[in-house]
Amino acid sequence: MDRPESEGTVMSLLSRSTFRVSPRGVITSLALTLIALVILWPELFIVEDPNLINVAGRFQTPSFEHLFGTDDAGRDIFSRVVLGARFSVGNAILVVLSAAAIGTIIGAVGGWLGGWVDRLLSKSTDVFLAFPYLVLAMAISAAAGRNLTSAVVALIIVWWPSYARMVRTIVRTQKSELFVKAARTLGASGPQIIWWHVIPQATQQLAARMTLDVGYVLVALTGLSFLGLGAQAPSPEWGLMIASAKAYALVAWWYPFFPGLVIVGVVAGSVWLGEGISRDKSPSRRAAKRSRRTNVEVEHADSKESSA
Amino acid sequence: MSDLILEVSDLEVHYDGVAKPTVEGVNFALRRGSCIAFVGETGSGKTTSVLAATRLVERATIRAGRLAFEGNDLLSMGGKELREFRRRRIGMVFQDPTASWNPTRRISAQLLDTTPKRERVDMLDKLISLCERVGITNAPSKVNAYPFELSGGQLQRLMIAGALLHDPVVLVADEPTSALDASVQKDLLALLDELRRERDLGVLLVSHDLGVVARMAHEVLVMNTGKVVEQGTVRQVVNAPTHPYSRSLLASSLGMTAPRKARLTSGPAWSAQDPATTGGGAA
Amino acid sequence: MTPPLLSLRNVHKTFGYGDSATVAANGVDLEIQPGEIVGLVGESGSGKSTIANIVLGLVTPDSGDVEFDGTPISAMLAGKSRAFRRQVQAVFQQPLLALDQRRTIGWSVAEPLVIHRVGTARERSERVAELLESVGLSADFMTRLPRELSGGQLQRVNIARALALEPRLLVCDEAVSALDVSVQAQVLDIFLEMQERLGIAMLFISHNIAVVRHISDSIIVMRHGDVVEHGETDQVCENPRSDYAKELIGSWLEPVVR
Repeated sequence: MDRPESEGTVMSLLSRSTFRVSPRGVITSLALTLIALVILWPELFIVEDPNLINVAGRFQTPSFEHLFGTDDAGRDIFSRVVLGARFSVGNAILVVLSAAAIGTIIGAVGGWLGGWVDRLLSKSTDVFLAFPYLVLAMAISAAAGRNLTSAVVALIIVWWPSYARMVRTIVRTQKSELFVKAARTLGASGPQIIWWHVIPQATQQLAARMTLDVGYVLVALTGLSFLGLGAQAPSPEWGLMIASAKAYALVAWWYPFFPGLVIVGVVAGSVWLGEGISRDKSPSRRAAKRSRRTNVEVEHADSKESSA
Repeated sequence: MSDLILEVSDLEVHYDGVAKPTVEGVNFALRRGSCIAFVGETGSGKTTSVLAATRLVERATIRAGRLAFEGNDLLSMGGKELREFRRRRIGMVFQDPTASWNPTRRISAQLLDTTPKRERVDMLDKLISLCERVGITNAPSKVNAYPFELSGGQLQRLMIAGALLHDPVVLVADEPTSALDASVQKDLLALLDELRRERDLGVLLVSHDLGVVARMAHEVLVMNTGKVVEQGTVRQVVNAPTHPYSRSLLASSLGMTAPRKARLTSGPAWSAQDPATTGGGAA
Repeated sequence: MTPPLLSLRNVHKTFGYGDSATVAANGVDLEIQPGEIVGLVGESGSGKSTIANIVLGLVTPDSGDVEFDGTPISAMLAGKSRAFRRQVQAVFQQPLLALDQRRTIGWSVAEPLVIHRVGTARERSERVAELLESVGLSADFMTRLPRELSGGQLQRVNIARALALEPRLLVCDEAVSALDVSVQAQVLDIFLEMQERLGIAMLFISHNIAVVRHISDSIIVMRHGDVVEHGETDQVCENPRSDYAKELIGSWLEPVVR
């Protein structure tokens, strides 16, 4: 039996999923599961203590025992990369989720209320959009010290405006739709309408954008660490590892190579997945397209809504 | 010369990728100066039948016992001959004046699109005089206007003028007035009627409105789910339909003289959840 | 003497400024008695949709009084807007677009109950099944999505949803205009039975004079923001006084061959 109130936005996000059984879908699910496991339970994959210093075994080439070789302190690079996932990818995801949440709220409020509130919020959004992330990160680091937290905060501040813009546009256009008018007539308040009806319309767009952003944020975050503005030693954060490896690149190619490879891999994956999501023609979208054909009598047999 | 323009027997249409035929078993003969109306609801196949009979339909397979235009087989016509046929022998008037025009181009540009450049000047003159005939005042400037500058009624009149540009023999009118206000509708239908008589046109009219059909048609085909359920003179079909579907259609068609507040359909419409009634209703 | 259920007195509303200003309502008076169906007929640009929006409290008039059961609706909306919403509901022109495509039929029909916190989850489910059955749809429509239903079925869903809170006034804004003729007839039958059994009043808005004549007890004819004629339906239709009403009635095409 249908339980109406349990079908909140989250449920609708999950149930009207844009994934179907397809090769892309299967690969995606497997990859996502793998990444989640690595971030949440690195112990499952770590072979050797990532922090174990073994000066005698420095710069060992990749072998069966040390898949990615060892670094300048003799630590197993593979295990460090595995542990570093939560610092790099985990934080990238955190940045994206936070930026999306903040941006969505600000965009929805401005888009729905309009008037001076919207103007104020839009202008603020534009101001923040103008900041290059590097400059902002340097400023925040100078103020709050150089660490991963500063970098994460800086990136959240830089990334939320694009979500605010996107959501504001969606809310503004949806506001004039008939089903929104109908919801108001029923007595729904603004926040209720936005949460129940408008945001769910944006799930595909939001999901696509967020997925792509994980890749871009990852590059920015590892970049900041590389420059010394993010994670500090002895963190196994990927960008930091590459920074440390810089000096030894000619001697131990594997040292910068594998962290770099993993970063590229995750970014490529997020772009591939994000584009897949944005291009996904799930049933609801196909039906909407079909009903837009005006010429011939289609589907809805007894109504004249051929130009929905 | 015979006044028989279009002969259609056993018409069947399959849209690409659809297993069931959209239309089957349609027969009619269109003569000069007469109007045949295809009546039905959405999905009945009325538009498809007319478009298929005039080879205007796309992405579909047409089969027929006979499909002939002025004695010549239409089914085997192809390429250049077909294009010429569509352009010169048939004029078409669509339903929605706001959707049928490209909002970014002037009216004249859109109507003279398929005219070769060297003929355009003459065609423009002809268009202007046609516009005057259809009741457009100040034709030269209206013809040069953009669609958004004109009313629905004016746009429909312009579309009629455009449809007559190449002196067609058949006029296809697909719900020509259903998007217009009632007051405008009457005049526009009168215009179509006059033009039919003046130019001896064969008119294929598609409509869901029995009032429009009663006014305009000589012969009527009532369609439901792709098949013709009743066919005859307009007097027979509209005043005294025999098929249950046509009768229900007539019963549902409101007029200004029928008893008010009367029940239009049979079967329970709305039932309260009250112990006295048996509850539940027709789906 | 009980006050009318709904009354509009000298309502004015203009949209836009300066040269491009359109007068949607120019001193409109309107009254609906409890249980009465008042028809509002007008062509495009007549202002009828604006009146609908004003009655629903979605648009505030520039001047004039709008009262529901004797109380100004501006007061009702400012304070306990929920109470007003429970009394006045609407059915709109486009059956599909009036529903959230991503929600099941059951969710949508239950929405007003959820918003106004009526009953427990189980009670709401039962009520939804009841409402659907009352408009002739079986309870298993609850799990379907809007795109799976036909226009007529969707409009019934909209009616069911509108009735959920047991309103006293239903605003039907071109509610049958987008439906096929036979479906239109079914829905009109539903409206008439609702009036009979529930005693619900309606403001029935349409551009179609014959439909309005069929369903209404009294008629108001609007043109460019003005009320050009009003009165009992039979009166207006048989003896129209204004030229416009005469033209409107005169241009109707009867489905009969003479």
